Amino acid sequence: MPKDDKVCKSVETVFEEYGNMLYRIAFVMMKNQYDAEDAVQDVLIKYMEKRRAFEGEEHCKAWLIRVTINVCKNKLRFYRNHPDISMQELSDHYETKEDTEVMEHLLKLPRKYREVLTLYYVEGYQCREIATLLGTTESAVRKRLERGRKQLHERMGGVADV
Amino acid sequence: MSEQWEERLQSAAEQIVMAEPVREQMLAKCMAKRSAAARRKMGCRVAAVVCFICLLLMIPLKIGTEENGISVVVYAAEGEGKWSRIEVGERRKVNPADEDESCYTFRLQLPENHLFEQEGVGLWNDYIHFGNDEIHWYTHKDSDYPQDGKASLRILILDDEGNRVDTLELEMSREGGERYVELRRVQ
Repeated sequence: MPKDDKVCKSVETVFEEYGNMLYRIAFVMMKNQYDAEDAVQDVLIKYMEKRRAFEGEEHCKAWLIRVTINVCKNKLRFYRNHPDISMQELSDHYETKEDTEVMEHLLKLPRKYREVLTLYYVEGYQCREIATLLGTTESAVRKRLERGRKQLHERMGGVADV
Repeated sequence: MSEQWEERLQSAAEQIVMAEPVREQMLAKCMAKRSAAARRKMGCRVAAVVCFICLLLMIPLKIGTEENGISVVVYAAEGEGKWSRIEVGERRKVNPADEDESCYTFRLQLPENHLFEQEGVGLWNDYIHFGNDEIHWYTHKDSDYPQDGKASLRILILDDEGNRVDTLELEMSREGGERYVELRRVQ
């Protein structure tokens, strides 16, 4: 893959382009909107402080995702008693019962499965890329993906054959 | 079935977006934080520059007055209650501080709990009176004494235990009826 030119975007541009993606990842990890917003804000501040040029768009995006995951992990470590979003709030958010259900089941999975499933199915990353983002091995990501998929499938009333 | 939940998961996740007021508020907070950081950075730079200037200003003051960690300052009376500082290594013309025009007065500023003692090196027949922190040097004006020449006074600086911590030498010269003084540090 050819290398892109150096990328050095303003925080406004980064927020415009990746704000919702970062919020999505933070929300799935933190399981409530307020902690997710805090996490995204921390990431933007880190981005401002970093003031670095990235190797390309993908490098910039990967850096933001990695920092978001790390910020969320830190928050989860230090604020163990953070409230999860209530099912009522979740159903208010979605128009269809199916969307509410799938999100509810996703949020009930252990964090390591949630993050892998989100990066794979929602953000479209490959196992190798997810391994780099999470600082783990590709086989570990495949294992987590398999188990997460299985658990989610079972929770949703499907047959555990995935 | 499998494909269904995957698509549903993607669709549900993509509906997780920040509300517009939250986005604006978040960006505003970031901007405020950036401004505060910039101000802090500027403040640090200004403080560093001020410290640097102070340091530069202190260097000439320190030279010649501080040796072995102690600071001694010598002043010469200029008349009319005025005093001027004599730097170590400096030679300058001095004016008499009395009406008779024979007394030259010097004042020593010593660190706390320090004293001074005198040691004449060559004083002609001048009379020297020592006060608490002042030296009054009465010079002869008689024509019997040579009008040109030098006389020195050693000032020994002692700490509270009587140990000598510094030695200065005040040299008075007579040149064509004028008086010059030079302050030296004796190693």
